[in-house]
Amino acid sequence: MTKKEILKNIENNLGDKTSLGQGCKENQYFLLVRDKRDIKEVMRYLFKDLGARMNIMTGVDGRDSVEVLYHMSWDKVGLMVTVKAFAEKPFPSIDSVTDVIIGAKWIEREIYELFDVKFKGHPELIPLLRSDTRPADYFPFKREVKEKHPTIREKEKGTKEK
Amino acid sequence: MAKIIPTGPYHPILEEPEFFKFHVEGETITRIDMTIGYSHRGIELLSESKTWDQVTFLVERICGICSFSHPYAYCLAVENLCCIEVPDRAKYIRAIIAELERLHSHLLWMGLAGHFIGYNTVFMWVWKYREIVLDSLEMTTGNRNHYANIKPGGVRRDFEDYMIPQLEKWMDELEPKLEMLVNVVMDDPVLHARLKGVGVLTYQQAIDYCATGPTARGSGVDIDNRRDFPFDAYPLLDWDVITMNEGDVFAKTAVRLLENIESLKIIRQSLKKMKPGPIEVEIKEVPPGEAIGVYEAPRGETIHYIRSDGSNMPIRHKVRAPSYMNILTNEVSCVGAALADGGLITAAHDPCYSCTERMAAVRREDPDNVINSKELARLSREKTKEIAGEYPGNDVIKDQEGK
Amino acid sequence: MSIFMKALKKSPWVFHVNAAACNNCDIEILDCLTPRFDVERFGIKLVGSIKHADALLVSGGVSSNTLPRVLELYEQAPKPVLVIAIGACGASGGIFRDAYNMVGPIDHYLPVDVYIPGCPPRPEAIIAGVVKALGKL
Repeated sequence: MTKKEILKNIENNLGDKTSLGQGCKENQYFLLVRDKRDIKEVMRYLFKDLGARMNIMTGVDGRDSVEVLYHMSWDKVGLMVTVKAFAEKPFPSIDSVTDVIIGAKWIEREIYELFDVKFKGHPELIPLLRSDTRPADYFPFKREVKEKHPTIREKEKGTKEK
Repeated sequence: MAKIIPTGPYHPILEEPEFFKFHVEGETITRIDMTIGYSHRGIELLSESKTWDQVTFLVERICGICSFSHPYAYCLAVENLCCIEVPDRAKYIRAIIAELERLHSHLLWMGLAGHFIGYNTVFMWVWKYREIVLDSLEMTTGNRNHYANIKPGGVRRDFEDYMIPQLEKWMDELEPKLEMLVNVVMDDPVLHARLKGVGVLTYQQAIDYCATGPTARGSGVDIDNRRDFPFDAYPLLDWDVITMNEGDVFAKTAVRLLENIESLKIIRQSLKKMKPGPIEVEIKEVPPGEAIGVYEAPRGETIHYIRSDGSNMPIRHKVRAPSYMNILTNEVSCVGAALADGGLITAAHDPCYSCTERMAAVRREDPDNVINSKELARLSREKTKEIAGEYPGNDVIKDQEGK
Repeated sequence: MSIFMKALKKSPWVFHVNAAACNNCDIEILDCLTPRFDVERFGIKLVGSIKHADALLVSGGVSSNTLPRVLELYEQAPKPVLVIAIGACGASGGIFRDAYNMVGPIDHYLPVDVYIPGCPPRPEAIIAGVVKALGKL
């Protein structure tokens, strides 16, 4: 399939749940999922039917919700599509995609450990990188916790000369 | 100076906490448990308080072996966000240093794998040839590792005129040694018996676990970021992607050895095609937005994601090293293998050195008797000796034992 | 007899532990064994167990996961033992000093005898540092 055919298939089959937009580089696209409950179906379509490969997932902490990004790529044609879903605060949660893509097991554990996002249906949701001496309820990337870190505090106050 | 007495759960027998724990029945592995996170340092949070230029020095120190891959992927991400292209001379300089680093990394792995299965001569010889590569890097960038030569918009230091004939001379010296390594491994019957059919990862498993790099290419998945997402000098040069179909440890070794020859081709072509000119483009400001940079490191695909709000520091920087996806494939490739091969299979996809040290095995009938990594290494070397005994006329083994 | 000859006669055995380092110092330590630098002709050997070692090489700024392990190793080592901190991370925490998972450089927890700075230090520097430390034994 060529790049144009893949993008056309995405628009035709997922157009009612998502919206597609182009990024800064001409082969990087962003797919916004309007309702987070559709995420499993979107991922199943991209992974099984269109044959994408998942690179990684990312979490970004916003004001009202945590954005969960899924980076997918098609190597034969050189196309990258990033799927965005929003998990609303105060108790962010989203469906897990591990029964579609087995390779997502570890990254979902890491996003849970850093951002406190619950992935429903994950076989073993325990922290991946934690140690015995760091407290279990310390989520380093949550906005409230991050703002207290000394390097971020200096940046906000503007004391470091840049 | 304060002293802290350690408290909390700690296993009294082992010196090191478990990293890979094999569950065995008899001599066959049935399951593997993995715990990681010992080198977790919190780099992504530090990135948010450094300017766009300073982040390059921070990401270099994520891993010492692939110390050019992470800054390269990061600089590609920033250049994608700003929509700029670097000048030609910078493209060729980047390609030369990147391929020299790939050579050094594959030779390092070869030496450690040889040491693990008992071929100590291979370890010493291969690390001696690796010194030629490190000399070339020191002459061109100033340091044997951590080159600090790349920045968003180009490179920081140019090549002088005397470096090009010296590099060509060193590459000519290295070529027969690399070909000798390829022939030794492909023809040795003991290595065939030891590595073939061990730790097989099938094509469908490689796709389901999203493996990358030589781990995936050894199972028949034809992916290589230098060809699929073209950037810089790679579309202007002539080279091939190596794949094998069997998926065992021998296939992964063969992929790495043949990739060395391709790297040599790329370096030679770049040295010839390089012309005088500027080496950088100035970036005045980074616009708001988000972008992704992908690069093919020696171990697989490195991907960096950045998000900017128009200020002089990133607001989110996500890093993913290739071993993250590849280590997970151990779950399926270790099952059913003999205990003496367990350490070899976990090392075959080339994780960072400090990870492969931490291994332990637990017998199901006797869970308190834990076998640690020194014992596993000894079992592996004994198996090689046993196989070598079946080939009495093998001159390679005799020479190595004599040396 | 000069200090250098006295040091050569001692042939110390070293044990290396990686406390959340980037691996670069570790491969420079392994480089010392290879034919170009060949530290085994002095009798210096890398051993597998802390109970046989005269010197403990620590690389990396210490993270909270590895701190209990390093302290336990120091308790198990037969005294007298030299502690040598390798690299910029061993001396001061390096570029990762402020990260949330790092609990400080090794000299906040153990008595360090010699610091070998560099990022990474060359194999010649590591050999010189170990020989200098022997004068303290």
